[in-house]
Amino acid sequence: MNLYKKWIMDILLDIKNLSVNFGGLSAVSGFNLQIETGTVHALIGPNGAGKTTILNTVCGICRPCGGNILFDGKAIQGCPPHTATRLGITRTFQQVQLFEELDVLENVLVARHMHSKVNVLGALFRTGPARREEKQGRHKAIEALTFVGLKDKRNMDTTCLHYGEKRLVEIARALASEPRLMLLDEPSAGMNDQEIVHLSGLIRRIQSMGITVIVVEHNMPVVMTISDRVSVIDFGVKIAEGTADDVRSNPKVLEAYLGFENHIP
Amino acid sequence: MASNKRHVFIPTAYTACLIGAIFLPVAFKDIRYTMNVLNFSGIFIILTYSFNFIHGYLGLISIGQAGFFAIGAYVTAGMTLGLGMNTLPALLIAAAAAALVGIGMGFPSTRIGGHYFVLISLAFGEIVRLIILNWREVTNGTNGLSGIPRPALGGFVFDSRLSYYYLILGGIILSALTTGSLRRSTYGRAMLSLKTNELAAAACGVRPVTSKLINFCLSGFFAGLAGGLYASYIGAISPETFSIDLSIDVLTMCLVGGSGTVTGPIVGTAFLVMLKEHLRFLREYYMILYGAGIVAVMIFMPYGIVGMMRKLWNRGLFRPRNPGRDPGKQKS
Repeated sequence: MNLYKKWIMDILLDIKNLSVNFGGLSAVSGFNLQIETGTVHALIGPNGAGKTTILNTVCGICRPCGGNILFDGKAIQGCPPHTATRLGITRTFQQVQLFEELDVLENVLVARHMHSKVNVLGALFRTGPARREEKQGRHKAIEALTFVGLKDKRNMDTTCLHYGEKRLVEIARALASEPRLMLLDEPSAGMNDQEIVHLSGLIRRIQSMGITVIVVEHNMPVVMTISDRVSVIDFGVKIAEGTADDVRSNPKVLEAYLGFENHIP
Repeated sequence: MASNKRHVFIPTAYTACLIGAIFLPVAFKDIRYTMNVLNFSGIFIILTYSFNFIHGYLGLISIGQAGFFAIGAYVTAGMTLGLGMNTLPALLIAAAAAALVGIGMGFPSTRIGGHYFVLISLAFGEIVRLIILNWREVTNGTNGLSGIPRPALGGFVFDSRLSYYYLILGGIILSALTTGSLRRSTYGRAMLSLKTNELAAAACGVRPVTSKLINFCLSGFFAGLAGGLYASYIGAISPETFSIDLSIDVLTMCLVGGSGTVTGPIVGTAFLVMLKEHLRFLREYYMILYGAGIVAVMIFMPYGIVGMMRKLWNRGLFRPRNPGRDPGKQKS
């Protein structure tokens, strides 16, 4: 990529030569990725390819063995997860991870905690600033829930929701922290067709809010409709990258998925 | 809407209980024994609230609360006897000292998981007890300290059992209000998120160490406050009181009442104290039924008495039946 291009396309996330080993197993090796601000970038590949591991290193859950991750120019590899979130990176998980003891609105409010500026005593004694902050936090949380379409269920127990709705709560929670980069790990898993259409629309609208999105997905139609760029990973190595159409007919990709020459539907 | 009923019922119930609690001792004020039971129970309730912070909000089991209790008692004694301080400020200093120690004890626990935390708390409680036992120059060892004065406010001294009752009641109200206020605040939500799923909580931006330390600090504060109130009430303290038995009693009372609730500690302590009192006729064999009672509660009400009542309420058991009502309707 020549310098001129680099200048006009703002690189938000720059992963260089990333390696992750678990014991003797190399999950990711020599991985490079550049995410431009404001794009939706899909990571696809067979199961076990290392996609979730890559997301884990970006959001701080996993510490890489080698390589650098630059977020807006700042090195974040090895940062703990709460630091990554406070820098503006949030994620959703492959298996929905909600907080069962809290209701839906409170789940989303947890993500507002990092924006809290009052100290404990202020919060306990309900001082003016604390009350104002709480009110504002609630307002933003309800906004996020309205965005995903769950405003009416905000006072419900999370156990009363079905799986697709729980996933939406997780997305609302990720949005409520006002991220710059959102990592979605197989968001369409467990959803029916109607919900997937709704999800694709949501991701588009998230992008239009200026948030950069990285999506790990298995659902090809979703990938085709929402992504600006696609990277294909197999055995911890990037084997192809380009627009959705480029990747779709790439022979290496077909071989990785299907083992023989064919078309991806 | 059902939520309106709940929002009206609960404050009314609380106010009724508060009025009851204010007028309760009037009937017993001349009966020394009953007043003693009430006052000791009250001190225990505050101590149980301190356990409630750690277990209810963080899901950690602590069997070292007696250590904070002891620190509160001995620091109060030290401030009043040694430095001649007034008891009320001494109580606050003792509570603050216990809170600081809570932070100190909390540090290693932020790095390790729940099962190991039990051991750390056990070690902590025992270390405090052994320090008290052996640091004779300061604590007078097994002989203990005596002559700890009662608190005085203005010209008024809390020297009667009745007046001390109201002091303790104030402490209980403070503990309950703090627990409730924490639950509704962002810090409370952060702590509960850590309890359920620490990884997801961190991914939401919650700092595990900060939240846990705040919690240990609050827990230490109330345990220390209870210890100071105890020291000043009895007037004389010695190391045997601050044993692991006390810590286990506190754990039992909290779990039986309902951990993680605002009224659980009160209900649990009251229930077990009444159970013990009514089983007195069995003398040393009361333990059999007492233990059986605890086991029965934990089998049938694993979330404690208050916890179970809350679940029944959510299932609509206490609400008036409405034939046209959809049973699958959301809880508001």
